[in-house]
Amino acid sequence: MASEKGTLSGLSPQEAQELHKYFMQGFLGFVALTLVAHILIWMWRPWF
Amino acid sequence: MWRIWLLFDPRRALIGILAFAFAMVLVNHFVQLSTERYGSWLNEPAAMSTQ
Repeated sequence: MASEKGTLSGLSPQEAQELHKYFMQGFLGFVALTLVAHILIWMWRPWF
Repeated sequence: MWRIWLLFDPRRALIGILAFAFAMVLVNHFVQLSTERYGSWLNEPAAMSTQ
């Protein structure tokens, strides 16, 4: 059955843009946390 | 880039991404635990004292 908004996922462009905003926030949060963890590990035992 | 959510159902995509990330992190931690340089953070005393 074709999705009501005519897209494969069923999201409207507005919904997709809103979701992407929150997705990117979460992703950048993950990257920031990982960066901090790697900086701490580097201070403990550098790998190069 | 947001158009990706017009193609993939967000619920399945998020579950897939989280499962992949969890597996990746799990593997990475065990790989590090198996190395000589980093594999000691569980059994050595808190190495805060800088030698």
